[in-house]
Amino acid sequence: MQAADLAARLRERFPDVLEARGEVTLVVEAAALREALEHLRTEPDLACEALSDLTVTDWPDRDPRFWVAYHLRSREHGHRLRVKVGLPPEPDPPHVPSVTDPFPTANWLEREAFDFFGVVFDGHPDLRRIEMPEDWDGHPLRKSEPLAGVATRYKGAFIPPPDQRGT
Amino acid sequence: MPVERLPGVHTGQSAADVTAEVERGLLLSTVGKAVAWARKNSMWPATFGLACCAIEMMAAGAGDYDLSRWGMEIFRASPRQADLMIVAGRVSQKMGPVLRQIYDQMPEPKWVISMGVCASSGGMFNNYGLIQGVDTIVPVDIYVPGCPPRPEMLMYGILRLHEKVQREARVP
Amino acid sequence: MSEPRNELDAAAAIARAIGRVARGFSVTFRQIFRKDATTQYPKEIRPLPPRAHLGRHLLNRHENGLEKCIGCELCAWACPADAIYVQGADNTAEQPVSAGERYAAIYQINYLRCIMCGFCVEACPTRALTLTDNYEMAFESREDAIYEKWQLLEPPLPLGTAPGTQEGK
Repeated sequence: MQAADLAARLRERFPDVLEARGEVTLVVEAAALREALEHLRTEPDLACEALSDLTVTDWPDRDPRFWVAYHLRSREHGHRLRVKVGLPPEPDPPHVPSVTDPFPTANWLEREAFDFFGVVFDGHPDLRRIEMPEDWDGHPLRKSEPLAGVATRYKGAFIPPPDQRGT
Repeated sequence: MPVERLPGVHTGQSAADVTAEVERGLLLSTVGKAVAWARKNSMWPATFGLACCAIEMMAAGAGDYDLSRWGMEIFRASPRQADLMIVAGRVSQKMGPVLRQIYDQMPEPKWVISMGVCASSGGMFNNYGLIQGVDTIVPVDIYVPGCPPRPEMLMYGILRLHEKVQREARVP
Repeated sequence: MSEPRNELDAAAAIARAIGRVARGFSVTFRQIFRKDATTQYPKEIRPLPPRAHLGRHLLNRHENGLEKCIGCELCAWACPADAIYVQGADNTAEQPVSAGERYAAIYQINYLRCIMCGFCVEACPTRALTLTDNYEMAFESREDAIYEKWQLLEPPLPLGTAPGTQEGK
Protein backbone atom coordinates (compact mmCIF):
# COMPACT_ATOMS: atom_id res chain seq x y z
CA MET A 1 0.00 0.00 0.00
CA GLN A 2 1.36 3.42 -0.91
CA ALA A 3 1.68 6.06 1.77
CA ALA A 4 -1.25 8.09 0.45
CA ASP A 5 -3.48 5.01 0.29
CA LEU A 6 -2.39 3.99 3.76
CA ALA A 7 -3.14 7.45 5.12
CA ALA A 8 -6.57 7.39 3.47
CA ARG A 9 -7.24 3.96 4.88
CA LEU A 10 -6.23 5.10 8.38
CA ARG A 11 -8.37 8.22 8.19
CA GLU A 12 -11.43 5.99 8.07
CA ARG A 13 -10.94 5.31 11.74
CA PHE A 14 -8.40 7.75 13.19
CA PRO A 15 -8.90 11.49 13.02
CA ASP A 16 -5.28 12.65 13.25
CA VAL A 17 -3.20 11.20 10.41
CA LEU A 18 -0.28 13.02 8.82
CA GLU A 19 1.47 12.09 5.63
CA ALA A 20 4.74 13.73 4.74
CA ARG A 21 7.65 12.62 2.51
CA GLY A 22 6.16 9.20 2.03
CA GLU A 23 5.85 8.55 5.74
CA VAL A 24 2.60 8.14 7.59
CA THR A 25 2.25 9.34 11.16
CA LEU A 26 -0.69 8.65 13.34
CA VAL A 27 -1.20 10.70 16.49
CA VAL A 28 -3.31 9.18 19.24
CA GLU A 29 -4.12 9.92 22.86
CA ALA A 30 -2.31 7.96 25.56
CA ALA A 31 -5.58 6.43 26.74
CA ALA A 32 -6.42 5.18 23.25
CA LEU A 33 -2.91 3.89 22.46
CA ARG A 34 -3.33 0.21 23.25
CA GLU A 35 -6.61 0.02 21.41
CA ALA A 36 -5.12 1.74 18.36
CA LEU A 37 -2.08 -0.51 18.23
CA GLU A 38 -4.25 -3.57 18.65
CA HIS A 39 -6.40 -2.38 15.77
CA LEU A 40 -3.38 -1.77 13.54
CA ARG A 41 -2.01 -5.18 14.40
CA THR A 42 -5.11 -7.28 13.87
CA GLU A 43 -6.84 -5.58 10.92
CA PRO A 44 -6.07 -7.82 7.91
CA ASP A 45 -5.31 -5.05 5.44
CA LEU A 46 -3.05 -3.18 7.90
CA ALA A 47 -1.40 -6.14 9.71
CA CYS A 48 1.33 -4.10 11.40
CA GLU A 49 2.53 -7.03 13.43
CA ALA A 50 6.12 -5.86 14.04
CA LEU A 51 7.14 -3.08 16.38
CA SER A 52 10.50 -2.17 14.93
CA ASP A 53 11.37 0.73 17.23
CA LEU A 54 10.14 2.74 20.14
CA THR A 55 11.66 6.12 20.82
CA VAL A 56 10.99 9.26 22.80
CA THR A 57 11.75 12.88 22.03
CA ASP A 58 11.91 15.62 24.58
CA TRP A 59 10.75 19.15 23.74
CA PRO A 60 11.24 21.33 26.78
CA ASP A 61 8.96 24.38 27.22
CA ARG A 62 6.32 22.84 25.01
CA ASP A 63 3.09 21.07 25.61
CA PRO A 64 3.14 18.14 25.02
CA ARG A 65 6.69 17.87 26.19
CA PHE A 66 7.42 14.22 25.40
CA TRP A 67 6.48 12.43 22.23
CA VAL A 68 6.62 8.64 22.39
CA ALA A 69 6.92 7.21 18.89
CA TYR A 70 6.08 3.63 17.95
CA HIS A 71 7.47 2.51 14.61
CA LEU A 72 5.38 -0.27 13.16
CA ARG A 73 5.98 -2.43 10.15
CA SER A 74 3.90 -4.88 8.26
CA ARG A 75 5.87 -7.79 6.87
CA GLU A 76 2.87 -8.94 4.89
CA HIS A 77 2.12 -5.69 3.06
CA GLY A 78 5.56 -4.10 3.38
CA HIS A 79 4.41 -0.75 4.70
CA ARG A 80 5.61 1.20 7.69
CA LEU A 81 3.86 3.70 9.88
CA ARG A 82 4.54 5.67 12.98
CA VAL A 83 2.23 6.10 15.93
CA LYS A 84 2.92 9.03 18.23
CA VAL A 85 1.65 9.82 21.68
CA GLY A 86 2.11 13.28 23.19
CA LEU A 87 2.68 13.51 26.92
CA PRO A 88 2.25 16.76 28.88
CA PRO A 89 5.02 18.12 31.13
CA GLU A 90 2.83 17.46 34.17
CA PRO A 91 2.78 15.04 35.92
CA ASP A 92 6.49 14.24 36.02
CA PRO A 93 7.29 11.38 35.38
CA PRO A 94 4.82 11.03 32.51
CA HIS A 95 2.79 7.87 32.23
CA VAL A 96 1.86 5.90 29.15
CA PRO A 97 0.36 2.41 28.93
CA SER A 98 2.81 -0.38 28.16
CA VAL A 99 2.41 -2.29 24.91
CA THR A 100 4.39 -5.35 25.96
CA ASP A 101 1.22 -7.40 25.74
CA PRO A 102 0.64 -7.24 21.97
CA PHE A 103 4.34 -6.61 21.18
CA PRO A 104 6.72 -8.54 23.46
CA THR A 105 9.68 -6.79 21.84
CA ALA A 106 8.55 -3.59 23.52
CA ASN A 107 9.88 -4.94 26.81
CA TRP A 108 13.48 -3.82 26.36
CA LEU A 109 12.57 -0.84 24.19
CA GLU A 110 10.35 0.52 26.92
CA ARG A 111 13.01 -0.13 29.52
CA GLU A 112 15.42 1.89 27.40
CA ALA A 113 12.92 4.72 27.01
CA PHE A 114 12.35 4.71 30.74
CA ASP A 115 16.07 4.66 31.37
CA PHE A 116 16.91 7.64 29.18
CA PHE A 117 13.76 9.75 29.40
CA GLY A 118 12.00 8.68 32.58
CA VAL A 119 8.75 7.85 30.84
CA VAL A 120 6.88 5.34 33.01
CA PHE A 121 5.15 2.57 31.08
CA ASP A 122 2.18 1.40 33.14
CA GLY A 123 1.76 -2.35 33.12
CA HIS A 124 5.34 -3.16 32.12
CA PRO A 125 6.37 -6.44 33.75
CA ASP A 126 9.90 -5.35 34.75
CA LEU A 127 10.52 -1.65 34.43
CA ARG A 128 14.20 -1.28 35.44
CA ARG A 129 17.13 0.60 33.97
CA ILE A 130 18.68 -1.29 31.09
CA GLU A 131 21.71 0.69 29.93
CA MET A 132 22.71 3.12 32.64
CA PRO A 133 24.00 1.81 35.98
CA GLU A 134 21.29 0.74 38.39
CA ASP A 135 22.10 3.48 40.87
CA TRP A 136 22.15 6.28 38.32
CA ASP A 137 20.44 9.48 39.31
CA GLY A 138 18.29 11.12 36.65
CA HIS A 139 17.43 10.35 33.05
CA PRO A 140 20.31 11.48 30.87
CA LEU A 141 18.69 12.12 27.50
CA ARG A 142 16.22 14.64 28.86
CA LYS A 143 17.12 18.09 27.69
CA SER A 144 17.04 19.34 31.28
CA GLU A 145 19.85 16.97 32.32
CA PRO A 146 23.41 18.29 32.32
CA LEU A 147 25.85 16.79 29.85
CA ALA A 148 28.18 16.20 32.78
CA GLY A 149 31.63 16.16 31.21
CA VAL A 150 34.90 16.98 32.91
CA ALA A 151 37.29 19.86 32.35
CA THR A 152 40.16 19.14 29.98
CA ARG A 153 43.48 19.77 31.58
CA TYR A 154 46.34 21.77 30.12
CA LYS A 155 49.57 23.04 31.54
CA GLY A 156 48.41 26.00 33.54
CA ALA A 157 44.84 26.02 32.28
CA PHE A 158 41.61 24.09 32.08
CA ILE A 159 39.00 24.02 29.35
CA PRO A 160 35.61 23.61 31.03
CA PRO A 161 33.24 20.87 29.83
CA PRO A 162 31.06 21.72 26.83
CA ASP A 163 27.88 22.52 28.73
CA GLN A 164 29.55 24.90 31.15
CA ARG A 165 31.33 26.97 28.55
CA GLY A 166 30.38 30.50 27.60
CA THR A 167 29.98 31.12 23.92
CA MET B 1 70.83 6.90 63.25
CA PRO B 2 74.35 7.15 61.80
CA VAL B 3 74.87 5.85 58.32
CA GLU B 4 77.11 3.03 59.55
CA ARG B 5 74.26 1.53 61.54
CA LEU B 6 71.67 1.48 58.77
CA PRO B 7 70.90 -2.18 58.12
CA GLY B 8 71.88 -3.37 54.72
CA VAL B 9 73.61 -0.17 53.67
CA HIS B 10 76.93 -0.36 55.43
CA THR B 11 77.52 -2.77 58.24
CA GLY B 12 80.82 -1.24 59.36
CA GLN B 13 82.41 -4.64 59.44
CA SER B 14 85.49 -6.07 57.77
CA ALA B 15 86.31 -5.49 54.12
CA ALA B 16 85.50 -9.08 53.26
CA ASP B 17 81.99 -8.72 54.63
CA VAL B 18 81.47 -5.54 52.64
CA THR B 19 82.65 -7.29 49.50
CA ALA B 20 80.27 -10.15 50.18
CA GLU B 21 77.48 -7.67 50.71
CA VAL B 22 78.23 -5.89 47.45
CA GLU B 23 78.38 -9.17 45.60
CA ARG B 24 75.05 -10.19 47.03
CA GLY B 25 73.54 -6.93 45.88
CA LEU B 26 75.08 -7.22 42.46
CA LEU B 27 73.92 -10.78 42.07
CA LEU B 28 70.38 -9.97 43.12
CA SER B 29 70.15 -6.92 40.93
CA THR B 30 71.19 -9.06 38.02
CA VAL B 31 68.52 -11.57 38.98
CA GLY B 32 66.02 -8.73 39.08
CA LYS B 33 67.04 -7.70 35.59
CA ALA B 34 66.74 -11.26 34.38
CA VAL B 35 63.30 -11.53 35.90
CA ALA B 36 62.27 -8.27 34.25
CA TRP B 37 63.64 -9.54 30.95
CA ALA B 38 61.61 -12.72 31.30
CA ARG B 39 58.51 -10.78 32.23
CA LYS B 40 58.71 -8.35 29.40
CA ASN B 41 59.29 -11.06 26.84
CA SER B 42 56.29 -13.16 27.74
CA MET B 43 53.71 -10.64 28.71
CA TRP B 44 50.29 -12.11 28.18
CA PRO B 45 47.57 -9.56 27.60
CA ALA B 46 44.06 -9.97 28.92
CA THR B 47 41.34 -9.64 26.35
CA PHE B 48 39.73 -6.33 27.02
CA GLY B 49 38.55 -5.00 23.70
CA LEU B 50 35.70 -2.58 24.20
CA ALA B 51 35.31 -0.69 20.94
CA CYS B 52 37.00 0.13 17.65
CA CYS B 53 40.47 0.09 19.26
CA ALA B 54 39.96 -3.64 19.75
CA ILE B 55 40.01 -4.09 15.97
CA GLU B 56 43.46 -2.50 15.83
CA MET B 57 44.53 -4.56 18.82
CA MET B 58 43.46 -7.72 16.98
CA ALA B 59 45.31 -6.49 13.88
CA ALA B 60 48.40 -6.03 16.00
CA GLY B 61 48.04 -9.60 17.22
CA ALA B 62 47.52 -11.01 13.73
CA GLY B 63 50.15 -12.04 11.21
CA ASP B 64 50.83 -8.71 9.56
CA TYR B 65 52.11 -7.08 12.72
CA ASP B 66 52.53 -10.17 14.87
CA LEU B 67 52.74 -9.42 18.57
CA SER B 68 54.17 -12.90 19.09
CA ARG B 69 57.55 -11.43 18.19
CA TRP B 70 57.49 -10.28 21.82
CA GLY B 71 55.82 -13.40 23.12
CA MET B 72 52.44 -11.80 23.64
CA GLU B 73 50.29 -13.30 20.91
CA ILE B 74 47.99 -15.06 23.35
CA PHE B 75 45.20 -12.81 24.44
CA ARG B 76 44.07 -14.58 27.54
CA ALA B 77 40.37 -14.76 28.15
CA SER B 78 40.97 -15.45 31.83
CA PRO B 79 42.46 -12.54 33.76
CA ARG B 80 44.17 -14.97 36.10
CA GLN B 81 46.54 -15.99 33.31
CA ALA B 82 47.25 -12.48 32.11
CA ASP B 83 49.63 -9.82 33.32
CA LEU B 84 48.93 -6.98 30.93
CA MET B 85 45.56 -5.37 30.42
CA ILE B 86 45.17 -3.44 27.17
CA VAL B 87 42.08 -1.33 27.76
CA ALA B 88 41.08 -0.91 24.12
CA GLY B 89 38.12 1.37 23.76
CA ARG B 90 35.79 3.63 25.67
CA VAL B 91 34.79 2.52 29.15
CA SER B 92 31.19 3.27 30.02
CA GLN B 93 30.10 4.01 33.55
CA LYS B 94 28.58 0.57 33.74
CA MET B 95 31.73 -1.13 32.47
CA GLY B 96 33.92 0.55 35.08
CA PRO B 97 33.27 -1.89 37.94
CA VAL B 98 33.75 -4.82 35.56
CA LEU B 99 37.09 -3.42 34.41
CA ARG B 100 38.20 -2.97 37.99
CA GLN B 101 37.17 -6.50 38.85
CA ILE B 102 39.12 -7.94 35.92
CA TYR B 103 42.11 -5.90 37.02
CA ASP B 104 41.80 -7.15 40.59
CA GLN B 105 41.68 -10.73 39.39
CA MET B 106 44.95 -10.47 37.51
CA PRO B 107 47.96 -11.81 39.41
CA GLU B 108 50.83 -9.53 40.37
CA PRO B 109 52.87 -8.15 38.72
CA LYS B 110 50.45 -6.52 36.32
CA TRP B 111 50.49 -3.63 33.93
CA VAL B 112 47.86 -1.59 32.17
CA ILE B 113 48.05 0.03 28.75
CA SER B 114 45.34 2.56 28.08
CA MET B 115 44.91 2.29 24.34
CA GLY B 116 43.30 5.12 22.44
CA VAL B 117 42.05 8.49 23.58
CA CYS B 118 38.68 7.23 24.79
CA ALA B 119 40.26 4.95 27.35
CA SER B 120 42.92 7.51 28.22
CA SER B 121 40.74 10.53 28.84
CA GLY B 122 37.28 10.06 27.38
CA GLY B 123 38.40 11.54 24.09
CA MET B 124 35.73 13.39 22.21
CA PHE B 125 33.03 11.80 24.37
CA ASN B 126 33.16 14.29 27.18
CA ASN B 127 29.77 13.42 28.62
CA TYR B 128 27.85 11.54 31.27
CA GLY B 129 28.12 8.11 29.72
CA LEU B 130 31.84 7.41 29.77
CA ILE B 131 34.48 7.23 32.43
CA GLN B 132 36.81 10.12 31.70
CA GLY B 133 40.01 8.12 31.67
CA VAL B 134 40.53 4.63 33.03
CA ASP B 135 43.25 5.98 35.29
CA THR B 136 40.43 7.03 37.59
CA ILE B 137 39.78 3.35 38.36
CA VAL B 138 42.99 1.44 37.57
CA PRO B 139 46.63 2.56 37.58
CA VAL B 140 47.77 3.06 34.00
CA ASP B 141 51.38 2.50 32.96
CA ILE B 142 51.31 3.64 29.34
CA TYR B 143 48.86 5.86 27.54
CA VAL B 144 48.69 5.35 23.79
CA PRO B 145 46.97 8.21 21.94
CA GLY B 146 45.20 7.89 18.61
CA CYS B 147 41.66 7.27 17.52
CA PRO B 148 42.16 4.40 17.07
CA PRO B 149 45.93 3.98 17.23
CA ARG B 150 47.57 2.13 14.39
CA PRO B 151 48.93 -1.30 15.29
CA GLU B 152 52.40 0.26 15.12
CA MET B 153 51.30 2.87 17.63
CA LEU B 154 50.17 0.16 20.02
CA MET B 155 53.38 -1.74 19.45
CA TYR B 156 55.33 1.41 20.20
CA GLY B 157 53.39 1.70 23.46
CA ILE B 158 54.22 -1.92 24.23
CA LEU B 159 57.91 -1.27 23.55
CA ARG B 160 57.78 1.69 25.89
CA LEU B 161 56.18 -0.57 28.48
CA HIS B 162 58.97 -3.10 28.00
CA GLU B 163 61.45 -0.32 28.57
CA LYS B 164 59.62 0.68 31.70
CA VAL B 165 59.53 -2.88 33.03
CA GLN B 166 63.25 -3.21 32.43
CA ARG B 167 63.94 0.15 34.03
CA GLU B 168 61.94 -0.65 37.11
CA ALA B 169 63.64 -4.02 37.51
CA ARG B 170 64.12 -4.83 41.15
CA VAL B 171 64.48 -7.80 43.42
CA PRO B 172 61.03 -9.33 43.82
CA MET C 1 41.45 -50.87 9.16
CA SER C 2 41.49 -54.63 9.34
CA GLU C 3 44.10 -56.61 11.25
CA PRO C 4 47.29 -57.14 9.10
CA ARG C 5 47.51 -60.78 8.03
CA ASN C 6 51.26 -60.98 7.37
CA GLU C 7 54.40 -58.83 7.50
CA LEU C 8 54.02 -57.61 3.95
CA ASP C 9 50.60 -56.26 4.73
CA ALA C 10 51.91 -54.57 7.87
CA ALA C 11 54.73 -52.88 5.95
CA ALA C 12 52.28 -51.68 3.34
CA ALA C 13 50.02 -50.26 6.05
CA ILE C 14 52.93 -48.38 7.62
CA ALA C 15 53.98 -47.01 4.24
CA ARG C 16 50.42 -45.86 3.59
CA ALA C 17 50.28 -44.16 6.98
CA ILE C 18 53.58 -42.37 6.35
CA GLY C 19 52.31 -41.25 2.98
CA ARG C 20 49.19 -39.78 4.51
CA VAL C 21 51.08 -37.95 7.21
CA ALA C 22 53.52 -36.59 4.65
CA ARG C 23 50.66 -35.36 2.52
CA GLY C 24 49.10 -33.63 5.49
CA PHE C 25 52.34 -32.05 6.60
CA SER C 26 53.18 -30.93 3.09
CA VAL C 27 50.75 -28.05 3.69
CA THR C 28 52.70 -27.11 6.80
CA PHE C 29 56.09 -27.43 5.22
CA ARG C 30 55.08 -25.48 2.14
CA GLN C 31 54.41 -22.48 4.40
CA ILE C 32 58.02 -22.49 5.61
CA PHE C 33 59.29 -21.43 2.21
CA ARG C 34 56.70 -18.75 1.64
CA LYS C 35 57.57 -15.11 2.12
CA ASP C 36 56.96 -13.77 5.61
CA ALA C 37 54.03 -11.37 5.70
CA THR C 38 55.02 -9.74 8.98
CA THR C 39 56.33 -6.20 9.06
CA GLN C 40 59.12 -6.23 11.62
CA TYR C 41 57.89 -2.96 13.03
CA PRO C 42 60.70 -1.10 14.78
CA LYS C 43 63.25 -2.38 12.28
CA GLU C 44 61.21 -1.81 9.15
CA ILE C 45 58.42 0.69 8.75
CA ARG C 46 55.39 -0.16 6.70
CA PRO C 47 54.99 2.59 4.11
CA LEU C 48 52.09 4.91 4.73
CA PRO C 49 49.84 6.48 2.11
CA PRO C 50 51.44 9.67 0.76
CA ARG C 51 49.11 12.09 2.48
CA ALA C 52 48.55 10.09 5.64
CA HIS C 53 47.77 12.30 8.60
CA LEU C 54 47.48 10.01 11.53
CA GLY C 55 50.05 11.35 13.92
CA ARG C 56 51.38 14.34 15.67
CA HIS C 57 50.67 17.95 14.72
CA LEU C 58 53.29 20.31 13.41
CA LEU C 59 53.25 24.09 13.70
CA ASN C 60 54.84 25.47 10.57
CA ARG C 61 57.01 28.50 10.05
CA HIS C 62 57.41 30.87 7.17
CA GLU C 63 60.65 30.73 5.24
CA ASN C 64 61.94 33.76 7.11
CA GLY C 65 61.49 31.98 10.43
CA LEU C 66 58.32 33.70 11.53
CA GLU C 67 55.54 31.49 12.77
CA LYS C 68 52.54 31.03 10.57
CA CYS C 69 50.18 30.72 13.54
CA ILE C 70 48.37 33.98 14.23
CA GLY C 71 46.67 32.89 17.44
CA CYS C 72 43.13 33.08 16.08
CA GLU C 73 41.92 30.03 18.05
CA LEU C 74 39.91 28.72 15.12
CA CYS C 75 41.55 25.32 15.56
CA ALA C 76 40.47 25.24 19.19
CA TRP C 77 36.91 26.06 18.18
CA ALA C 78 36.88 23.47 15.44
CA CYS C 79 38.19 20.74 17.72
CA PRO C 80 35.42 18.30 18.59
CA ALA C 81 37.33 16.95 21.56
CA ASP C 82 38.62 20.21 23.15
CA ALA C 83 42.15 19.01 22.58
CA ILE C 84 43.65 22.38 21.66
CA TYR C 85 44.22 25.31 23.96
CA VAL C 86 45.39 28.58 22.42
CA GLN C 87 45.93 31.96 23.93
CA GLY C 88 46.86 34.76 21.58
CA ALA C 89 48.88 37.90 22.23
CA ASP C 90 49.75 40.98 20.20
CA ASN C 91 52.97 41.06 18.23
CA THR C 92 55.42 43.83 18.94
CA ALA C 93 56.95 45.73 16.05
CA GLU C 94 60.51 45.14 17.24
CA GLN C 95 60.35 41.41 17.77
CA PRO C 96 57.49 39.87 15.82
CA VAL C 97 56.85 36.19 16.50
CA SER C 98 54.39 35.56 13.71
CA ALA C 99 53.59 37.13 10.38
CA GLY C 100 50.23 38.51 11.48
CA GLU C 101 49.12 41.05 14.03
CA ARG C 102 48.85 38.45 16.74
CA TYR C 103 50.63 35.27 17.65
CA ALA C 104 49.93 32.27 19.86
CA ALA C 105 51.47 32.98 23.25
CA ILE C 106 50.31 29.62 24.54
CA TYR C 107 49.64 26.73 22.22
CA GLN C 108 49.01 23.33 23.72
CA ILE C 109 47.58 20.12 22.36
CA ASN C 110 46.41 17.43 24.73
CA TYR C 111 47.14 14.18 22.95
CA LEU C 112 44.95 12.24 25.31
CA ARG C 113 42.01 14.10 23.79
CA CYS C 114 43.15 14.58 20.20
CA ILE C 115 41.54 12.15 17.77
CA MET C 116 43.60 13.23 14.73
CA CYS C 117 40.48 14.09 12.76
CA GLY C 118 42.13 17.02 11.01
CA PHE C 119 39.34 19.54 11.60
CA CYS C 120 41.91 21.92 13.10
CA VAL C 121 43.95 21.72 9.92
CA GLU C 122 40.88 22.50 7.83
CA ALA C 123 40.01 25.41 10.08
CA CYS C 124 43.46 26.97 10.03
CA PRO C 125 43.39 30.10 7.83
CA THR C 126 47.17 30.34 7.46
CA ARG C 127 48.10 26.68 7.02
CA ALA C 128 50.06 26.95 10.20
CA LEU C 129 48.88 23.67 11.63
CA THR C 130 49.35 20.40 9.79
CA LEU C 131 49.19 16.79 10.78
CA THR C 132 52.20 14.60 10.23
CA ASP C 133 52.46 10.87 9.87
CA ASN C 134 54.53 10.48 13.01
CA TYR C 135 52.56 8.03 15.07
CA GLU C 136 55.26 7.11 17.56
CA MET C 137 53.69 8.52 20.68
CA ALA C 138 53.14 6.85 24.01
CA PHE C 139 53.08 8.53 27.39
CA GLU C 140 53.74 7.44 30.91
CA SER C 141 51.81 10.26 32.51
CA ARG C 142 49.04 12.65 31.64
CA GLU C 143 51.45 15.57 31.89
CA ASP C 144 53.64 14.18 29.13
CA ALA C 145 50.67 13.96 26.81
CA ILE C 146 50.20 17.72 26.76
CA TYR C 147 52.46 19.02 24.03
CA GLU C 148 53.51 22.63 24.35
CA LYS C 149 54.29 25.06 21.61
CA TRP C 150 58.03 24.43 21.45
CA GLN C 151 57.40 20.71 21.05
CA LEU C 152 54.85 21.28 18.31
CA LEU C 153 57.21 23.59 16.43
CA GLU C 154 59.85 20.89 16.21
CA PRO C 155 59.56 18.70 13.11
CA PRO C 156 58.93 15.12 14.24
CA LEU C 157 61.68 12.56 14.19
CA PRO C 158 61.63 10.05 11.34
CA LEU C 159 59.69 6.91 12.11
CA GLY C 160 61.54 4.15 13.87
CA THR C 161 63.86 6.45 15.78
CA ALA C 162 61.69 7.51 18.71
CA PRO C 163 62.95 6.64 22.20
CA GLY C 164 61.91 3.13 23.03
CA THR C 165 62.08 1.69 19.56
CA GLN C 166 65.60 0.42 20.11
CA GLU C 167 63.97 -1.92 22.61
CA GLY C 168 62.46 -3.95 19.80
CA LYS C 169 65.41 -3.88 17.44
